[in-house]
Parts: sequence; C-alpha cells; structure tokens
Amino acid sequence: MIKNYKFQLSMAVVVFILSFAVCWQIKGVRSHKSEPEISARINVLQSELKNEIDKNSNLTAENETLKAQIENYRNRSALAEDTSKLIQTDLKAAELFAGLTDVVGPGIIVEIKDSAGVRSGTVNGFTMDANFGIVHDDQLLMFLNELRASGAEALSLNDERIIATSEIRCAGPTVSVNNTKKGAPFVIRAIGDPDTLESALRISGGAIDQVGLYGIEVTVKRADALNIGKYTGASMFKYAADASKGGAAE
Amino acid sequence: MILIIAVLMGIFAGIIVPYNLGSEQVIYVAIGIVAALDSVFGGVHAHLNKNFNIYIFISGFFVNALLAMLLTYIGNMLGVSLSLAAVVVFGVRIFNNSAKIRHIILKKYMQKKNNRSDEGVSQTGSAEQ
Repeated sequence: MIKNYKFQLSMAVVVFILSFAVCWQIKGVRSHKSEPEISARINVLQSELKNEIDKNSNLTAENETLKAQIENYRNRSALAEDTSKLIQTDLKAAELFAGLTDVVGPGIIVEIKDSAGVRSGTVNGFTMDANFGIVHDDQLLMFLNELRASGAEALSLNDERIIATSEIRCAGPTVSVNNTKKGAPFVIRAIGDPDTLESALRISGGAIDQVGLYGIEVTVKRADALNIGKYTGASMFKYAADASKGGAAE
Repeated sequence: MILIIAVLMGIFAGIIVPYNLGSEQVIYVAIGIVAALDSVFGGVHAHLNKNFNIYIFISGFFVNALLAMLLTYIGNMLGVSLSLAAVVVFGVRIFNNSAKIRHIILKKYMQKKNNRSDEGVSQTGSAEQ
C-alpha cells in the first residue's frame, strides 16, 4: 500500500518532528504539573493567614489586659511607695524627736566653768567651801530646763545627747550623763533660735545670774550650723510597752 | 518500517535534548501538535486516494501548526479561547480522515478477499468444464 518513497520520506520527517514535539510537550506538562499546586496552596495560605490574623488580634487583646494589670500594679505599688515614704518620714521625724539622729541647726554653745576661785578658796571675795564653786548637777539641770523652755530642740552636754531618759546626776567630782561621767568645764550645745535661747539664759535672775552667785562662769556663743551628735546609748525598754494596740489602759 | 523508526528517533531526541518547555510555551506547542496530527492523517488519506502531493502536505503541516499557534495567541490577547476552535476543527478532521482511511483499507481488504474467492471459484469452474 504505502510504496511511494516521496510519501514515505516526507511522512517520516513529519512524524519525527511530531514525536519530538510530543515528547517535549509531555516533559513540559509534567514539570509544570506542580504549578497548579501553587494556586491550590493559595487557599491554604489564605486560611493560614486568617488564622494568624485571629491569633494576632487575640494576642493584642491579651496584651491590653496585661498592660492594664501592670498599670494597676504600678499604681498600687506607687501607693505603697507613698505609704512607705510616709512611714519613712514619720520614722525620721520620730528619730529626730527621740534624739537618735545627728542634727544640725542654728543655736548656742554654753560653756559653764567652775568658779576660778575654787582653787583659791575665795569666790567673789567670800571664802567659800570648795564645794560651793563647782558646777553641780542641779545647776546643769536648770540650764537645760531654761533652754528647753525657750524652744531648744536638741541638747547635748559634753557631747552626750540629752534625750528623754537621760540623767544628769552628781557622781562625786563628776557628773554622770547617759551613764557616762563628765567633768567640768561643761559645754551645753542647744539647737534652737539663738536669740531666744541666749536671752532666756541672760534674763535678770535667770540661770546665768543664779550660778554667777557662786562664781560659776558662763560663756555663750552663737552658731549658725551647730552639730549635735545622736544618742549612742541603749534604747531597749524593759518595762514600757506600746499601749496603742488595744492594751488595757489604766 | 521507516515510520516506526522515525517515531522512535523522535522520542529519543525529545528525551535527550535538555531544553524544557516554559509554562507559557506549553499551550502553543500543544495546539501545534494537534494541527500536525491533523495534517498527518490528511496526508495518509491523500496517499491512499492517490492524491498525495508532497508540497501540499509539507506546507499544510507547517501552515496549520503556525496558524493554530497564532489563533491561540490572539485568543489569549482577546480573552477568548480561540484555541478551542482550533482543537475542535482539528479533532473533527482527524476523526474524518481516520474514518475515511479505515473505509479505504477495509474496502481494499474486502476486495482482496473477494478476488481470492472469485479466483478460487473460477478455477474450480474451469476445471469442471
């Protein structure tokens, strides 16, 4: 049937080209078969994106809640801070009042010396008992009282801070202050209004005049920034207890 | 036959060549293949009808393929799938040609069968006279 060589040759060429193209086509289609998956993946990606967006909005809401909580805690801690600051301030004030802190302020320095005539036995021309011309605890107490009465806020005697429980007591030739023996000359430092303090001591018939009868010499110096050290003794109460917590008061 | 060799060589060459068709080109090559198939069937039919003209065959092959590709390209630009028209037309022609080829082959086969049986009958007939 198929004899014509022209036919055979041309048909062969064409068939060759055709099969060549078919082969290419099949290869191309197979290699690009993965591409439809990409468009299918778009759906997957879309749903994934939606998930992420939902998660994101949830996390944002959670973030807001947590931020509000933190704000709340900050406010409460700030309040607590204020409370603790208040307590701190109260504590400092109390310590100041109690004499447990070093203080500085304007005031006067009162130096009280034994009468010069103690050694010589003659005071103001009078022959006196040696006991007469020395400074006694009651005189020191009088000074302190006067100074307190004129608004002294901190007092120290020979660098011993005078607090509520400080004693000034005769102990032979010395004076015991805060269980520490101190001798003449006595230096009283007082922080307060220097004018008031000094004039209180110098009033006629006041402390300076009274001890002057015994020849005791008093000098008063003013200072703008007087340093008074803190009370350094024990501060434990054995008998007194806090009565503010519903204790039975008599 | 040489045709089978040609097919095998074509497949072999297609596998060997490393060039891979781009995803764009696949559409055009597909329609070109369909057009080429149509012209092959047409050529076989023409040969069986003793009408085979080598020039018509070769020109038809290339022109049909190029025309089909062009139609697909224009269709892509216009947004109309003109490749569908090409596919339909070529498909119809392939079926037509293959049907005609089948008829011719079957007729020839049946004629041959008739000839043989006629010869046998006539021989026995002459033997009897």
